[in-house]
Formats: sequence, structure tokens, C-alpha cells
Amino acid sequence: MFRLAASSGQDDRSPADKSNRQFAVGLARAAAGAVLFALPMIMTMEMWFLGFTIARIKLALLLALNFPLLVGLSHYFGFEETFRLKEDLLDACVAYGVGFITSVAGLLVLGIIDPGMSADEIVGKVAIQTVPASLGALLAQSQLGQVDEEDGERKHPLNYGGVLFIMIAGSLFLSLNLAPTEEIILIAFRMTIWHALILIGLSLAGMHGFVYTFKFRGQTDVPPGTPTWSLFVRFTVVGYVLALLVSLLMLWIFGRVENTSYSEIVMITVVLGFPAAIGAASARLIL
Amino acid sequence: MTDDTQRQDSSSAPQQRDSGDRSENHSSGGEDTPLLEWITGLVGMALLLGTIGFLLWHALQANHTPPSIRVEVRAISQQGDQFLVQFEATNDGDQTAADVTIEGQLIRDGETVETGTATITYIPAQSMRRGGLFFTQDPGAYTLDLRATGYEKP
Repeated sequence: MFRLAASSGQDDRSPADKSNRQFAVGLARAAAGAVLFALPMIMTMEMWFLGFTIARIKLALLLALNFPLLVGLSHYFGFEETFRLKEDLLDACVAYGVGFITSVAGLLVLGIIDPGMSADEIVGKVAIQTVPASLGALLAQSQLGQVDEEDGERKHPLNYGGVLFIMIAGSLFLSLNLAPTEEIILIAFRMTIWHALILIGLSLAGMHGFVYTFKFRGQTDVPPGTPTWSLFVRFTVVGYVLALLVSLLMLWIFGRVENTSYSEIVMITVVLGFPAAIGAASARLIL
Repeated sequence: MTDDTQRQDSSSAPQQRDSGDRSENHSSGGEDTPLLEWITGLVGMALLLGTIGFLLWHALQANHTPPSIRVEVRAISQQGDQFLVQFEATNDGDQTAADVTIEGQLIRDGETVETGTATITYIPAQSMRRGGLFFTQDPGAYTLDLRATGYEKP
């Protein structure tokens, strides 16, 4: 929701003027969020190269999948109690627009795109940056914009589906950051099966550490006294599987698993699954 | 942390009532939504659909020809005791070429006198990248043969 909490200041301008102005402030904040989320990736070489090497159909798919993610995040972090699809769709569009403009500006300033390049190259480079940028734009409102503590608080408690959705969003953001890097592949090549097994254990333990803290936050979906094994099965294990699936999807979109043996694909997915798992579990604390 | 939680819980009921009132106001046609938000939203939607449309249009184009690299001399200049040949390498194909090696040979009477090589990390499809080759002898006095000798599929 790109709107500030209603201010009580005396102002003789018309309400429409005021709300437009408030929205403009919200836009600036969204742009700040877009920069925060996209900057690490705008300044990553692999992301520029992926802009033109990635299969066009996969890039279109990534953008298409990003949109429902934005709508869902707008729903879970919106200030409204009810699911107002029209508002959430509008928010997602605004976030995409802000993310797009921010990406173009960032890439232009840093000389990564210039008018002499082919349209295909420019669109590809911008499109890939738009994903983290639009995520940042949308979340900026929920994170940086809490002018009024009461108004900034989430109005509706998360249900189980909501928790899983936010886990997917968190794992997507971190795996998007790391999947393009050469290091993920290199680490997988260097690891033995024993390394992989230990990493799986570490991923689960790390995730469960985050999940366990929710118990103390008194979230409605985790009532006090919930046995640990129940938390582990319902949140940690399911969250880890989702993180692995998101990792595999990112690797496939970025063309990292083409013509690669299945055992190597499993290793690479486990490697990327580690940050994705941490992203999934921590998303609920951070978001 | 527990205290914090309880405070939030106890205050959630009035909040919900409050937001219920507000959503009633909103649902009466959405005139609460600032005009600027609608404009920005429409621009965002247009950009999203435009980008996806562009990408799909490119994806559906039938021609996927392999890289085809054409190397042309831009300028030849003397730098101290060596000569610089600046070139433009253009990929006319529909696929990106990675680690493209560019080789320049100075030839006289069918004999190669000097060879210079450069590697270009990426030349995207339908795009051009620039580079240079250094020679110790004046390329103007020889036949200069410039060509791409290989690439890696990214």
C-alpha cells in the first residue's frame, strides 16, 4: 500500500492534492527500497551477462512469476484487513514500474547499458534487475514506511499458507542473489557427498533456529506449547523443501543445470539451498 | 519479547475495527486511491506487459543462427614504439558468443610477420564490442588480416 498513515497536520490543500503528495512520498520511498534490493545485483557482472545469455522465454517466465509474488506480498503486508485484490494488483504494478525505472537509471549511471546496445540486450539486462528492484520497492512500504507504529503493524495474522508464501519470497530473494554466481557451481564441484549431507543438516538446523524463535513471538499460527517435532515437520522441513525447489527453479531459469548430470544438479541445488533456506526462515523475522 | 507480543495482541482488536471502517470507505468506488497511484500503476503495468511481450516476441522468432563474428578496423595509431589497431567485432548471429578470440595478422607476400590476439568476454547477439591489438611493426606497411578464431557457448 503506497500510502502514508493519515497525517493529522493542518493543511489547507484539497484532500486529493494531499493524497497525491503522500503517494509521491511513498514512491520515493519505494525507489529507495528498489535501490537497496537491486544494487548488489546491478553491481554483479554475472547479472549483466545473464541479461543477454538467458533464454528469452525463461526471462519472460521469471517476470511473469514475479508478479503474483508482488501481489501476494502486497496482500500480506498491506494495511487493509481484507484481501482487496484491486489494491494489491495496483500496488504490484506500481512496484514493478518503480523497479523498472530504478533499474534503468542504475544501469545507465553505471554504464552497463548505453543507447548503442541492441534493444534485446538492454531489455534483458533491465528485465533481470527489475525482479529484485520491484521486490524492494514493494517491501519498502512495509519496512521503511512505518511512520505510525500501530498503522505499520500487520493487520491480519499469517495463516499457514501465508507463512509458506513468505518463506518462498525470502528464499527467492536470496537464491536470486546467488544463483547467477560462478561460485555456487564451483563449490558444488569441490564438495563430496559427505559435505553435501553435512550442509543439508546445517541448513535444517539453521532454519529451525529461526523457526524456533517464532514460538517466543507468540504468533497465532505457532501457539505456545507447540511441540518441537511439530514445528520441525510443519515449518522447517516443508520450508527447506520449498527453498530447494525455488533454488532448482532459479538454477534452471539461469541455465545453470543444462547438460549437467543429475547427481551434480542435486549437489548444486543443495549448495544454493543453504542460503535459500536461511532466506526462507529469516524472511518471516525480517519482512 | 513476550511483553511486546502481548501488547500487540491486546491492541489488535481496536485496530481491526478501525481498518474495517476504513475499508468500507475505500470500497465505495476507490476514489480514495490517489490519481497519481493509478497513473503510476498503469505505467508499471504497461512496462511489465511490454517487457514480457518483447521477450516472448524474441523467443518466438524462428531464426536462432549461431554466432557470426565480423571484425573491422576502426583506427590504427602509433603509440611510442608500438602500433595500436582498434577494432569492432560485431556478432550478426542470434546467439551470444563468450570468450571470443580475435586474431590479427600482418602479412606480406603470403607470409605472416606478426600476430596479435585479444579475447572478448562476451559479444551478445546482434551486438558490437570493441577492442585493440598491439603490434611492434607498422600495420600500414603490411596486409592486415583480422578475424575471430573461436568462441565458447555461454
